[in-house]
Amino acid sequence: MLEVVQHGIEATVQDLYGRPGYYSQGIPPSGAQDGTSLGLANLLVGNDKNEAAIEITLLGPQIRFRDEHTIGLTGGDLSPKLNGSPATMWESFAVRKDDLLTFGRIEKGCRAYLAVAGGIDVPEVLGSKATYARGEIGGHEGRPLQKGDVLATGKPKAAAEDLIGRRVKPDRIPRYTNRWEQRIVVGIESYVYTDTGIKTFLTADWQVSSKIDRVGYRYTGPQLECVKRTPPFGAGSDPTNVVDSGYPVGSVHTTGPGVEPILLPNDAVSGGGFATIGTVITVDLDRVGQSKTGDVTHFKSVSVEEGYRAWEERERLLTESSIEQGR
Amino acid sequence: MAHRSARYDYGGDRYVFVEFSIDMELAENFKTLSMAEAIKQAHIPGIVEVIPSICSMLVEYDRASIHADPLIRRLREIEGSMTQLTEIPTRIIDFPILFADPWTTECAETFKSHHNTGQVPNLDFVAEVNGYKDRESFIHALCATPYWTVMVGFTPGLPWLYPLGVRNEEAIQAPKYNRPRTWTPDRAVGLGGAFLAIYSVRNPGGYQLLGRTTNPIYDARQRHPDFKENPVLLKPGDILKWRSVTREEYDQIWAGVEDGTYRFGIKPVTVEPEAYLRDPRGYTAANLGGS
Repeated sequence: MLEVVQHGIEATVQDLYGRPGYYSQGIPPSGAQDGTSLGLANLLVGNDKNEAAIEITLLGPQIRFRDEHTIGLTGGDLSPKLNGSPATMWESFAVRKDDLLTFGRIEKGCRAYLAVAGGIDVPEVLGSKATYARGEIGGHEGRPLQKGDVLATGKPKAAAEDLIGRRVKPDRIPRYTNRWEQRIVVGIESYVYTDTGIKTFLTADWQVSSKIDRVGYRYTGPQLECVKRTPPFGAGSDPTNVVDSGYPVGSVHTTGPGVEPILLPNDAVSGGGFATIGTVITVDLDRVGQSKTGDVTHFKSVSVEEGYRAWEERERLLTESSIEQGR
Repeated sequence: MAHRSARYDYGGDRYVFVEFSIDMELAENFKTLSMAEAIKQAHIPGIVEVIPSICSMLVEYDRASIHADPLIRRLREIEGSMTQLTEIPTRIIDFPILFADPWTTECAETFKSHHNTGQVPNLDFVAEVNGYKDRESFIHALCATPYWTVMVGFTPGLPWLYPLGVRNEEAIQAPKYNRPRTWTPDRAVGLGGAFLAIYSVRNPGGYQLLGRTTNPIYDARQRHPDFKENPVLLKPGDILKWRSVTREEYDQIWAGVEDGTYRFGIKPVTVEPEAYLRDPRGYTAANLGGS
């Protein structure tokens, strides 16, 4: 068992694939904002890659272990410490009863992942253990972790001595930066922008704003030129308004007169009245989840096929072949 | 049925987008729902979910089983085989509402400076801009108009509702707030443009607040018996009938909702879109509880 001694900004229980199949009812898939890191954390400790683990955003919580566990830390470098000494990332290790895990400075990335051998034992809701906080379902009581929460864990798949010291092969560890390139398939309602507007979108350096939660990532930068048109009946009066349509997870919209693009990650709202300029390919949402306020993002237009290839690559990455025995 | 073909596009690497119209027309919503149903019936391997919206839809697929282009070909075949709009089996659901209730009134008061004119309750503003002489005549008109669920979403279970039996230009309309509120009580009934919505969870919003219903539309804990199968009450095509209640009735119904003894008034009905479109007003009055 794990006890949350202090909560950070937002720590939630998540899995890899989330809760597909309920988006038509307004319930988004949720699941790890950086699936690559959550999957690798699980593999480190012998779990199924889709097992429930803890997603830690920016300022981490303090977690006390109430028993012996094997754990793995991946994702952004939020300066994890075990009993005050730097803790290893990308390699599994043992913790003892009463050990305290804390986090410190944000060195790289935005979200860290903590997997425990056996997984975080929370009930499945609509087929997933992922937290969807706005809808108050999944994870631990449908909300981010709070001080005083106690989390149960499942049964590890192997003996501790076989799970300790496993590490992610160095060339399989994602690299984090302050300048990100996200691949996007332009389309759906990109027709509300002029060619110049689309070109501006694909060439600008977009600043990641301070609004970077699981429901929306906002960017600031230039205004996008819109086509002059009379918005259709029922749509609203802004040039980027459309009759409300579905928002793909990963879709990007500008608001009002073509400003402040907002990207909808895994806790997306399922529809609305702003034109979709395009949709970031699924695996690049992992990198979106590691970008933070002040970083720069560039959107690169790609084909759907590139999205499929990237997905297959990630599926291959999230296998035992990415793990090696350390010492 | 008019044979203007739908527009197909890619939604990243996991959705196909199908658009019937860029305008709000109930006929296009009927078509969207008909096609959504036809796609489900076709049981195409690899489809994760069909996500209909007002006049378009997203079809989510599993790229390990099917890719976008072959899926679009299948969807075009289905579209081509739809020679007429199919009957829509649906429900008429009773929605008790306390107009100008204390909770949405308090919310409107809090965000007075975000409002177009600062009128609280917003109900009076909406009655006025739609040319009703007073609150009562507006309430009477609203309760005489059944509302069609054109789409569910934004937040869990939130219905987007459009009036039945009236022409677009006759629909009750109101502008959205100048600046959105940072919160709205759950079960608040709001009007933005020609659409009514019910806030499913406490959430930001910019619709004019009319009142609060006793019917939860989303029950995350699935406690109430009508939510046993699913945390969401409404589906596209559901018809809502507003019933104005007093504060006493509201409290009584709400107590029953809370302890699970109050069951929603749900009546099955089959809508024939072609017949509706020939005579929206007459069909609504005769079959869908309009008056």
